[in-house]
Amino acid sequence: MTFWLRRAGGLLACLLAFDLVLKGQLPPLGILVLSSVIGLSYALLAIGLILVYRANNLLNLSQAQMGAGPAILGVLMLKVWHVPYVVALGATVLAAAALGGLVEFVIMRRFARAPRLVAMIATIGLSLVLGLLQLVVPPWVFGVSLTGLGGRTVDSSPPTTPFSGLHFEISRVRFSGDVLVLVVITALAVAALTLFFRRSNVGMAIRASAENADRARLMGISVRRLSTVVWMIAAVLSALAIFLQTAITGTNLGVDIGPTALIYGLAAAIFARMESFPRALLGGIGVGVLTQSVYYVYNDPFLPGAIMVPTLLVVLLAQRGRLSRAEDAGLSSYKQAAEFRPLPPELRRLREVVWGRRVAAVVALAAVVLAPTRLDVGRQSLAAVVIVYAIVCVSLVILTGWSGQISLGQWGLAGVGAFIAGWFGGHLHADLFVTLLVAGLAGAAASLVIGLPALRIQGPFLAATTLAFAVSVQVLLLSPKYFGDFLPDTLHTVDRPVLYGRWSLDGPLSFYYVCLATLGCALASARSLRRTRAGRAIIGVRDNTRGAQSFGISVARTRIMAFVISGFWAAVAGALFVYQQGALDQSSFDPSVSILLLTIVVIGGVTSLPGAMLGAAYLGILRYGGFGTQLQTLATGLGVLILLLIAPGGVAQGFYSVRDTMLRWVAARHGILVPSLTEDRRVAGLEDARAGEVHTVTDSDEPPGPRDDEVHPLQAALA
Amino acid sequence: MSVPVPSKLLARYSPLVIAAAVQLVVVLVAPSTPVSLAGLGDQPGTGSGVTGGSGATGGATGTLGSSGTGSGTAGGSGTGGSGTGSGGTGSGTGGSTVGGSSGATGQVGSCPGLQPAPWAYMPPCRTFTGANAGASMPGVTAKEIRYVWYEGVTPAALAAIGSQAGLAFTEKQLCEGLTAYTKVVNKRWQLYGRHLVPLDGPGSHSGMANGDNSCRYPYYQGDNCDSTDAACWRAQADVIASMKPKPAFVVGGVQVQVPFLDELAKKHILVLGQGQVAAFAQPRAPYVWDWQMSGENVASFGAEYFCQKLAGKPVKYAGSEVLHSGSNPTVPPVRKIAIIHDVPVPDTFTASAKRFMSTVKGCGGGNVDEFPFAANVSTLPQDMQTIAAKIKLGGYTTVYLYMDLIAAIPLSNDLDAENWHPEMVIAGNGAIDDDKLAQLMNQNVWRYAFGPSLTKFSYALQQFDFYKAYKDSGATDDPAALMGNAWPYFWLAGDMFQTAGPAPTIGSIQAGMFSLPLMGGQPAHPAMQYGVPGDGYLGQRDIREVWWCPTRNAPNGRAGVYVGVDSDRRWQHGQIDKRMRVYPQGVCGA
Repeated sequence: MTFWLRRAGGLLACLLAFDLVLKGQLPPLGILVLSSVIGLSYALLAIGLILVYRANNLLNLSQAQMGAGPAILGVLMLKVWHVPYVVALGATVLAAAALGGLVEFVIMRRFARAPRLVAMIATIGLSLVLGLLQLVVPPWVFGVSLTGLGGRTVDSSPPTTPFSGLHFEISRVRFSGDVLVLVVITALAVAALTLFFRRSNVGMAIRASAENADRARLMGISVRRLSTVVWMIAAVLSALAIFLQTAITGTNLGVDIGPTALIYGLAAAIFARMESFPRALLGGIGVGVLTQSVYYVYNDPFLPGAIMVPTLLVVLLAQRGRLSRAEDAGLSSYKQAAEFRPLPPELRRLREVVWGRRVAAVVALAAVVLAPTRLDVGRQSLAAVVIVYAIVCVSLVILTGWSGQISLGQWGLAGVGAFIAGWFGGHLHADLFVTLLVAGLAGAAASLVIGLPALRIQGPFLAATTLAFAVSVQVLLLSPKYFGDFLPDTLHTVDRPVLYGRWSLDGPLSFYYVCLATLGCALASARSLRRTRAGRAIIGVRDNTRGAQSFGISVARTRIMAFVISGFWAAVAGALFVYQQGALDQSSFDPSVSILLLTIVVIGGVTSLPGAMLGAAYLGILRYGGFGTQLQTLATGLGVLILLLIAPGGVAQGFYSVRDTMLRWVAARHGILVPSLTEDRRVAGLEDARAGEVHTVTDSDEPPGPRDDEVHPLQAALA
Repeated sequence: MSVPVPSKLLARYSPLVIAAAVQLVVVLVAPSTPVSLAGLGDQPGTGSGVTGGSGATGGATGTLGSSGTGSGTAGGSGTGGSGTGSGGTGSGTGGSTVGGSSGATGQVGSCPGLQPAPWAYMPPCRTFTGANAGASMPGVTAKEIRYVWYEGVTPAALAAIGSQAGLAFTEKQLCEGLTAYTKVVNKRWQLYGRHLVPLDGPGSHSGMANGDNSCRYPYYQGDNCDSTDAACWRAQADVIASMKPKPAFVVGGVQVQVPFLDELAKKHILVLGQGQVAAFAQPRAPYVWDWQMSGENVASFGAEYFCQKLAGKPVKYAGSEVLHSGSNPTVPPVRKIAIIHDVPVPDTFTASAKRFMSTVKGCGGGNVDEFPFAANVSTLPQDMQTIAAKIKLGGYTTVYLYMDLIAAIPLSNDLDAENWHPEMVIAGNGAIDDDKLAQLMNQNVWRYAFGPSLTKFSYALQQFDFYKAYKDSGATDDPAALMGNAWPYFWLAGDMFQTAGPAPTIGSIQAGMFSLPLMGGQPAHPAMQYGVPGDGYLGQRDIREVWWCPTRNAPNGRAGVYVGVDSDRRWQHGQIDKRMRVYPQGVCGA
């Protein structure tokens, strides 16, 4: 009885909130039904996200694109070859299953043991590859395309299906029979999936491996094979959604899931606690109804995206306890990010090592100080931008690398700083340092507000909230429509200051050094944090939340502290960016930049500050280094995919392996036995002897775990 | 766990506290604030006033008559510079920015060797003998007018696809086209002893590096900047601004983004490129120019078209369900108008859309409602579904499409799915009036498309000036069709430096261009005029009226083509009459 009362109370609260948001202007029933149909596509996206998340513990950002190609194939079979509907539908499903399996087998399997963040970033590259195939394959197979480019054009009208002729109206909004097909197939898919995972052996095995892959493996379950099945199902769901949607609305110029649509899918998945398919279905419909109703009533295209921030916060708060349990269920030995081994204490004081570090520091310092003087003014300007990005990367190391929280909206926090810079710098002409300080504090405050509910839970929940926040910052906070009184004038000018009334910062080089000095402060602050008890507590909470709690560490407070510090530096970077540009360009604060920044910091090495700097340098050199387009593509998702396939640890992996080689040489020269440097070689040697083949640790099925010589973070925290 | 004692804490954090205290004192004593609190329109000192001064020289040394001398003197004192014309509110102590316009009023007459053909945008010719004013503005010498052609990077995959679709040109074609146009402007326009010289980009931006031996045209090779990467665009502008020798002007063309134009304008460099809206070009005056029509003017034409022909009258050119949707099904209802417009980031559309609404409402169009949508590809399909349903539920009979075609494609499908086929009045912007692209629309809906069109795509190449100019350079082959996008920037540059006289300055260029009469206005060549109050820097001033014929073949061999009324006559403001032509007597048969 209490159960149903709570449900009824929750439903009533939702309806009241809905009514309040819409100011009592409920859209007509037809629009609500249409919104629900739209919501089905979010639901299918959410179910795909949940499937892969539960199986592989990663957010698959290529979920939509996996199905787009097969769906286009099916649609063109209908429109060009005029095959029967069932044949086209079957071909779509088969092609999607094949593609999903192929993607898992050829690409994602290589990331099976890689840190989860690395695997997630790899899916970004994957989505770009699949997006390109959407353009290239149809003209090749059919001699036509849906885009008007690359072959004879096929018009965009919906294909004729056996259900096209059937129509019905709900409060004058017209629906075709294909809508019914979409609804029925989606419902059947959800029911079948639910039954599959509850009743079938394979389904239960997938659930088991999702909860604890290592334990499932020990029980003889082939986790890899199951993973392939999951990816096949996810691709089929995506393809079905697009194929059935196309039968209703016709084709679009390719399928693109940008940040806004991704938020909607994530929101539905979060409502489902990343585990329940029926709830994902309800969540998707709810998101569809909410967003389209808001759009209908307010006639503002940006409000639906912006309203996702408070919606997600409310959802997170409302199901806080359950989400925590859902997350705790997954105790597999997946790592979010790879830790690089610290300098062994045995070698730290050796002369070669001491001098090696000094020389490396001097070379690095000389490079960042002197190299820009050799660049043209454009590159000097871009070098300053890269330094600004590097500051955001520092903030991501604190938040994602050390605290284990995924932020897909860190550039949104930079947008808060930009807003303050536009207001204080562009309007009030305030002192540079005052502006930076206020910007940092504003960023910290914003982090606190969005972090409080979300930080209580690990994983994708914060990712969704931060992404939604980044969207809101660009379209609301930085929009002259809403905050024009605080933003710079029509020229968007924010003049650079004269430092202490004496030194002009107008030139690109002088402001580069201001950015560099700020980066130095950010690095010093982060390094200092890492060395304090607070820093050790952050790492401890990341690695073993329950263990940390048992030692009296407040998990929520620790995470929020990391988020607030991280938000402070991200906002300072945003303010600096505005000064550097001399303008506040609303378009610069596109949410996709947040994903780009997370990408480069993962490429560099998200747990180490030097790694993050390497990531920023990677971006800067390849994107702004004046190389040809071929090399520049390495800085994009496609290049990232290739890079991560070759070196799953990113740029830092190479950097640290070179360092370790040198350290081994030094250790051998001094006759010092350093287990932390030689253990992995020894293990590899044993494996080789056992298997009789070339084999490395990363390829092994052994679950990664702490080595004997490693100091446990909790021990370190208490040291 | 040990709790740190205060003395330990103090020792650890005292350097930080001291540094913060020192910084606080410095902030109070010597704040780091900007010196100049001025915007572009009121920059003191270094702008055109300086260069305006040399107008005196121009007037003195040329043989252009008395008007040159007088105003040149005024320019001579322009060292304080009032800066930048119409946007300026500053207090420079110098002369007028148009001081250098002295040469602009030279003798008009026959010009042997110059201007042999009545090309659409060629100003009246001027004779000139003697010496010009020399280095009257940055990038101008006694013999040269240096300019930078910006060439962006097209991703290899996209270029390949574009090439398949006939929407691209080879590097050689581009090189030959730009070389030809430079040659033609030097040959046919009065540049007072100077000639246009393209500059090569510095270092990795060198365009010469990309040329083959058969064609060498120096240009600025742009970086592969993402459209949202404003920093990247601004940095490229910074490089151009710091080039030595400096360019007198930069052609950004249709390839650049707004931050690029903004940065060059802030650095007081003349730039020709798509400013899109007068609200952007006007505050940056007189540095950003383009030949295309401003967004405001597009909406203004739309409003006039509605007021003259459609507003307040019964709907006529829509599907039967719309024609019979009134309270009396036998009588078509009076038009109910919806404007659908996108809201880009930053928003340059909404203000014009609002103006359209108020104008149409003012001329008896009743309430006009707006349907804004985000230019966001990933949410567009869903938003268009809602808009389509809302249009049907609201009983809107006529839709004004102040948007580009990417959004129009799903909209056309969604309206058809709703079985609601209203009058689709195009605005003409966003390539929505291109035959090849309109063929992508749902033809059940698009058969009711008509309205203003800005350009004409379907003529044979031989009728266009860009073709004639290419041939005039001595070329034996034909130019690539897309060179039609390049030519306007050359005639624009030619006009600027001809009308500015022998002592060109930013002020004299502005004055010269503003003094030009309306040019063009023929079917293949839209009317152009600069200096229109409030919209002085974006040229196009007329439209044609088109109707979509879904059955007749376009030049690409596919069904679906826009048919112009009255043999593609073009209409300027005030000329649009109340008559509706051609349809429904048979647009396809016309």
